[in-house]
Amino acid sequence: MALTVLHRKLARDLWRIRAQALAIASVVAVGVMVQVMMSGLSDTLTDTRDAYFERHRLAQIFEPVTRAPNAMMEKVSALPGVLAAEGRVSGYGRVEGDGGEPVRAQILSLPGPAGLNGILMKAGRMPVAGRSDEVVLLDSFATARGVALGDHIGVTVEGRHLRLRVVGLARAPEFLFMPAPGEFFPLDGRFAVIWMERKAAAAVLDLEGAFNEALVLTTRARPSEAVLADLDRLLGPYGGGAGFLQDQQTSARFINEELTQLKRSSLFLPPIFLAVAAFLLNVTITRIVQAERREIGLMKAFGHGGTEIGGHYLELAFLIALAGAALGCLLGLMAGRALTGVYMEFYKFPYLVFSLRPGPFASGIAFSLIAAALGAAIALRTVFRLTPAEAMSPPAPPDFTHGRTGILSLMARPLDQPGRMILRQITRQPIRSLGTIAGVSAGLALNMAMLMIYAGFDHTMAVTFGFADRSDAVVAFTRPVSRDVVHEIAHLPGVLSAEPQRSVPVLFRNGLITHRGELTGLPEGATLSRALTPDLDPITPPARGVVLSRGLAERLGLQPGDPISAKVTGGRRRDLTLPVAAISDTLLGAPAYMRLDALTRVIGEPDRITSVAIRTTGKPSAALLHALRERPGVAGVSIKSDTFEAFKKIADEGAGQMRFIFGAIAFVLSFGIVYNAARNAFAERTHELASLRVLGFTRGEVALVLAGEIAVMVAIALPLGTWLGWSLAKLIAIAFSNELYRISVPFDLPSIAVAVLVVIGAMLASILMLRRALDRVNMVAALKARD
Amino acid sequence: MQPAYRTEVLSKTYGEGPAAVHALREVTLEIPRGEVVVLLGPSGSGKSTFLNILGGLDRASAGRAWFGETCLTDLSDRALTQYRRSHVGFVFQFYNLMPSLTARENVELVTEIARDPMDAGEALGLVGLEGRLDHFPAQMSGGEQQRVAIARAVAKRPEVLFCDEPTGALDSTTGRRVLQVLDDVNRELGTTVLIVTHAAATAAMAHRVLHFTDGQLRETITNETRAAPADIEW
Repeated sequence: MALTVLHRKLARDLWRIRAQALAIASVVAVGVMVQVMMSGLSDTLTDTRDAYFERHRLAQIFEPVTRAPNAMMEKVSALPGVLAAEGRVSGYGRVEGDGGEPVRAQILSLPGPAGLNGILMKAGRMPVAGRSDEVVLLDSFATARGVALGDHIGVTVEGRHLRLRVVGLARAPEFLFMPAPGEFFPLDGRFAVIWMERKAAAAVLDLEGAFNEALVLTTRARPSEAVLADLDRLLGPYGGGAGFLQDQQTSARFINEELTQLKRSSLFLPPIFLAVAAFLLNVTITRIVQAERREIGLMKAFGHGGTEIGGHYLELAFLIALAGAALGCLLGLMAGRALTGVYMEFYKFPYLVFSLRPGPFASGIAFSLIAAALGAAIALRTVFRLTPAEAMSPPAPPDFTHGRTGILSLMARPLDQPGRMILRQITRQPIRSLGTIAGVSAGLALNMAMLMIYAGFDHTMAVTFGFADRSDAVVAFTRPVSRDVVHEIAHLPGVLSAEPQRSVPVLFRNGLITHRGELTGLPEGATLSRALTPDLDPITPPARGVVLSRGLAERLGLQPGDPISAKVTGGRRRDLTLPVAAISDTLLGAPAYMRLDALTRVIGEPDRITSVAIRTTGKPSAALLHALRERPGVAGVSIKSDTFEAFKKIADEGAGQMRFIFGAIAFVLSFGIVYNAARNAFAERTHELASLRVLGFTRGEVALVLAGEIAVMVAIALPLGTWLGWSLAKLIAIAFSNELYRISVPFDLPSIAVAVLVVIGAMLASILMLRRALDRVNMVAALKARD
Repeated sequence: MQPAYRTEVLSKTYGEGPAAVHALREVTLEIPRGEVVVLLGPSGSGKSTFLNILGGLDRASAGRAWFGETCLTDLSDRALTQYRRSHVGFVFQFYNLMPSLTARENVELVTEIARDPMDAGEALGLVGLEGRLDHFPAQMSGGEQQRVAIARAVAKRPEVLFCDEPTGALDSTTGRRVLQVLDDVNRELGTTVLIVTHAAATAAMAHRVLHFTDGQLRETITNETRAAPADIEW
């Protein structure tokens, strides 16, 4: 019987405090939502990647060679620790397009019997055996360039013009994220992958009876590194020796980096939200229990036990927490799904392996319940200490004697009485006030930090495209050419200036740490492509030594003056040891620069260059692109404005959604905290406020006393939150920076302004809602109440 | 002399239809200035409702009430606030002090917004609390808290002081002390004092006693001789 009555009381209590309960449940929901969303996203993408890589047998070791006879593959397969191995042929060509810029293409032999580096057919079929003109094309390229099944494409390989028929469209785990050689950002239409029958590919690339890349899957029995070392030794005589593991493969490396970041954010963001939710639950439950002391005394007087009464209030806390957590799980699932779609499109995963691990749900719910229980327990303890008689008599006035001396009295001196009430109310329960301030600061900081990170992306783009790379286009050649070509290109229509560049694929090494990258040679006094200091001043590479980008230097653990070893993996293979001359603050990519003449000298190819950066009048003209297409040595042209647009689109789309989500989250958080603080203050002091009305204070003046308390705490939280947000942004920037891009966070005033406005908006909304409640206060009833 | 208050068939009904409660039924009377008036009657007799309407804390359902020339029943919410701010003071059973303000500051809460207030110290002196100016409510006894409430109410030199069960939460000795203070205020400042109480003995100190039953004014008694609060027993 008692149980039923208590439950009815519970339902009515919940209804009475519904607005507040909703505010708390929302904060709990947001915390659990972020937890479920981020871990779900991270788990799903990780599982999808693993499944995709495994099903299509992405090689664990890649060993490029110059040319090795097919028979060598038997020896490769026989190496200890090799599970499966396959040799393939790979080369580069140029797609003769539709009158636009020349586009680079990678020609690959189709996977062999072992099925390593498999492809996923999206449409069409495999080429028929013996039909050397039938090919499978990377579907993202086909979509970007409007190539359909059955279309013919013109491809120039090694000076030969081929007319190929597209019979299939495919995706491959190897090409999830694939910038054209020499570029750092992938554009679907800028790089084609063409799979041909092995024989046809070998014929085109002059590799009959041979392969130029060995792919290996290893057994678990032996570490891949050991197998790689054997393979390097075995294929060294054939131009090998610079093999690398899957995690160094461009596409896999990028995906891995992204997933690592996602994992990191899923670990550090949710606890902040859950902590804030815990605090809110705690404060509110405490308030409710205190307000119910008379009822508790009465229940005790009637003979209800402590467990029964405690359970009653615990249930109240649990119900709010559970409702919030359940809502959070649901929202998290929905948001996770929506975001997964965005990521899937960006990474070109052909399918998704949905991952719903119970962990994030369970921990989110458990955390919320524990927070609720703690809040209730602390409050109940003080009430249970009272005898029923004490509990039923009005509480003594709260003690404010602390405010009479010291700094507080000095601060209070110039204030009027309502001002003193505000100040003393805030300082009487410093922990609670600090919690409110901390919570609001946290909401502000989170929002601001995320906004700043996105402003950081804009900054990265501005620095990269405005200072580091000032060219309008880069013309790449199929093979190293004489530096004299610069003069010819400089005289093409619309070209204002031209600068030679040389890139050399290398394997950097410092001790056990390796990095597959490029050495880029820049001419003395380069103006189009430059290494920069943190102040954006150009760094001129010295006659000897390498200028490393900060990301690369950090990855390899190198400082200026240290020697770096670089094994040239293309053309004439050489082992170089060079001093690190300086560190540049490149934000995109992880380049390493040398002076052009020094680089070409050390690799034994004096004055041979691989690309020319040009500055043009406006966007490269059709006439210029036509002239470049006419030059058979040109492998491709990358147009800067296209890259910029693509980068911007991704930043705007992905970041735009995240900006909105975090803005909404910050609002919920700030509103939840501020509204609760205001609501609690209001509930605790209804009769004080009513007294003020009786004494002749207007509604506005009374509202000001309540709003003042909130406003003061928010005012303290604003600078604190801004500082926290700035620190958090810098921390996130460090955590999110990798060798592919570095985020530099500018002290972005618009980000701060938006974050601050969200908090102020939440505060005003809370005050407006309370103003309505305040107007409804029955003065007489409030004053006759005993507490 | 014009009376402090005048009412004509003043009524107050809570609720509607069969569930309606007639808290006050057609009360017509005059309360002269400068008197101590005690309103007596059992719970639910309408005395507090009557006090609340005259004090501008509640509104009548029918009838009219005047404060001097001002018709209270016609006043807007804003004007009622001004009326409370300028002309009347209140003392309640449960003191209703601001716990976050000291005795002096509680009084200053009113003197800051009043037109011609007395000094807060002077007001507290009037109730015998000159030595407790900087104490917070938590540091004072119930009687002391109630005297602070009285000081707060009289500090703005109100024309009328409304007291709803001012001794209800106090023991008899402390209660007598509080009544003495109210009597002093009436005597020294000429303030009209209206006291609602259950304690019939309090009637002895009044100039005039109003008996309420079932929402109606049953009887008005004028005391020829008034007892000193110190002599009141209950």
